[in-house]
Amino acid sequence: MKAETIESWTIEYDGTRALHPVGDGCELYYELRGKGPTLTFVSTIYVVSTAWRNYTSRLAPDHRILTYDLRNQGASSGTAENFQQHCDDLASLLDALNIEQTYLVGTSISTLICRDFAVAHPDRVAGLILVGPPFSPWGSSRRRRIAQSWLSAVEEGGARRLFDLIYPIVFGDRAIAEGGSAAYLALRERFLAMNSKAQLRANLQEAVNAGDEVEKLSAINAPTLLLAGDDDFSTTESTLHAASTLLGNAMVEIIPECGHLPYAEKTKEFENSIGRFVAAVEDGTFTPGSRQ
Amino acid sequence: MTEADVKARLLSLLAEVLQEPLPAELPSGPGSLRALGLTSVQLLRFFVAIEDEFQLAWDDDVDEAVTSSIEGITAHLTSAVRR
Repeated sequence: MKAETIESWTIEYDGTRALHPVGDGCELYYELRGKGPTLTFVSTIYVVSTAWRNYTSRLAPDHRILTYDLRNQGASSGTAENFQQHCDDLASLLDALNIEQTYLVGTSISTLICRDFAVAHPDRVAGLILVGPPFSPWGSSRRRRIAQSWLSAVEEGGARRLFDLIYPIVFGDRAIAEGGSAAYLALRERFLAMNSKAQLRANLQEAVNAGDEVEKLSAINAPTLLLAGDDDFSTTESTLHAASTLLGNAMVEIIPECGHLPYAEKTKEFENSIGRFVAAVEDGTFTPGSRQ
Repeated sequence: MTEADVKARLLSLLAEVLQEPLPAELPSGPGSLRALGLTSVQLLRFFVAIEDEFQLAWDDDVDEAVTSSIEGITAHLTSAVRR
């Protein structure tokens, strides 16, 4: 990626920590800012909550933005016994912040948390934005094998081995070519600074154990945006359309020249897509379908 | 170019990237660069500035111990510019 693309990538934890106790000794780090329809960003394994500051600058003026670290991630404490806990944690956090309804933004494996939350708490979800969702109408076999190979990489070579495995997978052709070795080394150093082997191992084990339970998609009525780069390793446009058929009230949007991390590679397009979707739902003009 | 020369130029580049004077007591040892709180872009700019300053290109094979501290980068560059 070009230097200007990642100009504002700052993910340091500042001094204004807000921690929400969820009742089992775990505390969730969160940040809440802005006014407007609430967008809750559910972090995934390798994206800590503070990173979302850099991918929400265009959304921030017109939306209330909630970001948080999953348990056992970033500045949150605790351990996860099962994937369901993330769904319960989110409900607890929303309760504590008096957020009755929100749009949920999930990316990669955290789209499963968003999906489960939408099934369990349909009245609390104004809409779903699922970015690079790994679920497939044909089941979880491929996703689990990928997660298992990533877990094996962590076990054998720690965070460095995992980074080397995922870097050429999650970023698109163009980003990797334009970034060169300097971007690779800078992002590797950042990744190693922010992710411990123990946390990565635990989070990946959760991903291996998580059930895709595709049939759950049929239980979701919330307007849903399925968003992915056209160079995303984890899904295809046809897979997204098949998932949208199951969802019933969903649209598919593809961002060109972009891999698994559209928020990092095509930040403007990512934010504009979310902004359009939320505006359409809010004013009642959302229609299922496709956009590219 | 001596190791001291390389380190002095590195620290100058680092101050430029951070846009502020460096602390009098710099952290040292593996991972010490992280203690300076560089953002990702500052880190990328630092690496690109090194390429420009020392007329070399980074290689993906550089070990993480090298890129995590001033001492590591200094030793790596000193060796590279002598070749």
